Amino acid sequence: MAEEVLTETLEPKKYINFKKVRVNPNIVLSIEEAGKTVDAIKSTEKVAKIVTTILTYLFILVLALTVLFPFYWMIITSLKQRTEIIATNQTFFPNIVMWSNYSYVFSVFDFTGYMFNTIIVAIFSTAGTLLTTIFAAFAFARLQFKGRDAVFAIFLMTMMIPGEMMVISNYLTVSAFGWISDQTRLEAYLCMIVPFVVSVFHIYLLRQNFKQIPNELYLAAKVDGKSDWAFLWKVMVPLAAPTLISVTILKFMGTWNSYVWPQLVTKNDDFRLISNGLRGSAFQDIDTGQVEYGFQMAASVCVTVPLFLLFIFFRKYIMKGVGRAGIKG
Amino acid sequence: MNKTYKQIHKVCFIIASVLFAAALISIILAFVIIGKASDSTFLVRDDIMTLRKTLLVAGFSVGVYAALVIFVLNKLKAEMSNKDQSGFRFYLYVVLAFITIIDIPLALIALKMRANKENVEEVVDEKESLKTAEPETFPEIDAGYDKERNVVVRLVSPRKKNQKPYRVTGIEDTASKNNWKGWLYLFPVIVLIAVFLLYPLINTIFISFAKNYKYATGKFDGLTLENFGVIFGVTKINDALEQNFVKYAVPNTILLTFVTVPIAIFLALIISVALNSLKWFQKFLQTVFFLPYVTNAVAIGLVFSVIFNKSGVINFIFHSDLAWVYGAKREIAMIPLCIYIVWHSLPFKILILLSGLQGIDKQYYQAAQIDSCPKWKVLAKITVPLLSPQILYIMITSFIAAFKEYTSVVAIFNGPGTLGQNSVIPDMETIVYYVYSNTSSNQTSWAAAAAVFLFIIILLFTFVQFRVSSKRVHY
Repeated sequence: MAEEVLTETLEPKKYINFKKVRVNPNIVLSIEEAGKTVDAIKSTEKVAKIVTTILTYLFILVLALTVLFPFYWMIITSLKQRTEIIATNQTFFPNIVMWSNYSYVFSVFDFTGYMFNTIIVAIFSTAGTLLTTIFAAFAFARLQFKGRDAVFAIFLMTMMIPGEMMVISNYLTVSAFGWISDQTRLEAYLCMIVPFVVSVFHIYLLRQNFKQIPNELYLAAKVDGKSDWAFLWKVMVPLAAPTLISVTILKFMGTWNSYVWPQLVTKNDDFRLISNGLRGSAFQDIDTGQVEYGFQMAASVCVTVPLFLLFIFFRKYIMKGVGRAGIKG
Repeated sequence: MNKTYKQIHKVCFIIASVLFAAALISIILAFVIIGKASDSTFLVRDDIMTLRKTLLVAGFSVGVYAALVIFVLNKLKAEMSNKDQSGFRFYLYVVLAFITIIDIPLALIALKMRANKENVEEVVDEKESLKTAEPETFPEIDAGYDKERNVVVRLVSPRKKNQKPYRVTGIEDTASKNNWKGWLYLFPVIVLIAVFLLYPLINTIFISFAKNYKYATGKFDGLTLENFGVIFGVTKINDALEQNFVKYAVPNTILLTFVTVPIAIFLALIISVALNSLKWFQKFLQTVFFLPYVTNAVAIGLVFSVIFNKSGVINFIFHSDLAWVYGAKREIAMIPLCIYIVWHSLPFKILILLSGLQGIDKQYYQAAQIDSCPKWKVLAKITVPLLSPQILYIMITSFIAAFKEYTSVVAIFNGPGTLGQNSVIPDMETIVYYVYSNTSSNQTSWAAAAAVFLFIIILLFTFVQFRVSSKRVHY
């Protein structure tokens, strides 16, 4: 109320025009918004805000479309005919929708076989990783023993070693185990699972999570006569479930994407994983040597869709798990 | 010679089988005891529980041990019947290693258990001596909760070092001070890390110095620096210089790193600042920008090679007739590769930066608004300095990741060069590509030398960036 009265009384006077007022000949007062009313300033600000908002949205939208373009092109190409793909006039929607590209993926290209391998390897290496990670994180976070911190420091240091460094020797190690020569299916799976059932980064992640669980819970469990083992599985693991889910998904995605190691250790095309299958020679025309892009893209879509589904359902966990790394900084 | 081995083998096998059977029996016993324990009185139950635990732990560890020995012995037998003695020594080492690795925790467990038992008795002795011998000098104290002082009193053996007649503590977490148990929990991880992380590290460094290393047999003729000379094009091998590393692998990697990392960080910064200022659809757009992270690298690489195909959509849009991928010039082929790497590495950076941005106190921006500070200045003087920990973090990780670029090259070019698998000149090779291609061909030592080179570079980068960060980063 008071403000309204004030503005009303000031109304006839308008505002002081500082351009015309000289306070002192030596001092020149200059005010940017001189001569403008408050309403005018407010409205220009509003307009500026709307314009910047629209511009940011446009900018983000354009970039988002650029990011999405490869996905769009993948789907489009997977539905095109061969002649349309290599035509000089590119079309942004297929003239004839070729669903038969997909049937090729499942019939000629051994999609299900590669998928089976990938899922088997992913399940076992994820389960192994979870088990070792839970044990190690529990030991580091809860138990006290001599040399714990030293061992943990060594573990953290191994994170700096590039994985490429290990590939050579690990290859020699698994071949010394006899898993390379005369490879059976089981041996091929062992090659791809065993070296990856431990991950220092995940141990670090879970240890941080375990450390946040209050000590009182542990002591309460002790009073109730629970052993460490029971406490770990009945209290800590359920409490750290979000982190464990993140670890599971990230590990699963890791196997889905792994290319080099399977390519190196598997000697038979039947034992390889999905990435190897995609980059294999299944899509090359035997006579002409040209790549059948339609088939290739259809297979790519089939590989990408499960990952997207996983992402849609577990978006929160994936983004949290990936983002957790940033806290270290 | 072979006969004695066979006899030793037989004896070992019998011992291992007996051990395995004993372990199984003890585990079964332990499970039988659980049933009995639940309906005994409290004190007896405690004892039974310890017994059960001992049986379980001992049974399990001995069982694993015996199973491993049986496994290795079986392998040995097959090896001996092959009459090929090269692998024999390796298995002997494996047996020795397993025995030592597993024996140490076992011995620790045994020692610890005995010590624990003594401790319990000691406490009982203490109690009796307190009550009978010197009732005047010591106040009458029972273990348990002392109401007046609000503490838990615990009786401790006088034979312990720094002994006191009794110790008054708050709630002391004695149960978690369990030495051998920690090692037991860590055991699988330590074995795996030792076999697949630490041993390879040392072995790779060793191979990089070995002369004429044959990976099939593990034989070599002494140590030398030759391998490094070869990959750096200094030492001649078979009267020719090996130039792929210096000419292609290293320059390509450095180019990729110093082009893609700054561009990607800059783009990610702009996108995340813009995303952060959005009111509607922020979560949705954030998800869209995260999508490249959840893709199969090879699948999307294939898409890029289609997009950049000679008759592909890029040439169609820009009305050009360039060969970007297949049969392209080296400089031009770098462009799709860089675009792909930036595209693929954006989501991680945006995610980290955005979470950093959301953690910045809004008061800084309000203060800037009051001072009517221009937007770019807010970005340069407030946002970027406050984001510097996150920026440093993504800088380190993306520098390291860019140095390890490999899958992108395979995915787009299907080979070391622009001519795919048939390329004679590996003009798109990266350092890691060099390592892998030489691992599977017979030049293991060169691959090892290149890997060591990569390792050193990555270590240097990490250290330099940490050094810089301690001075520049605003926390």
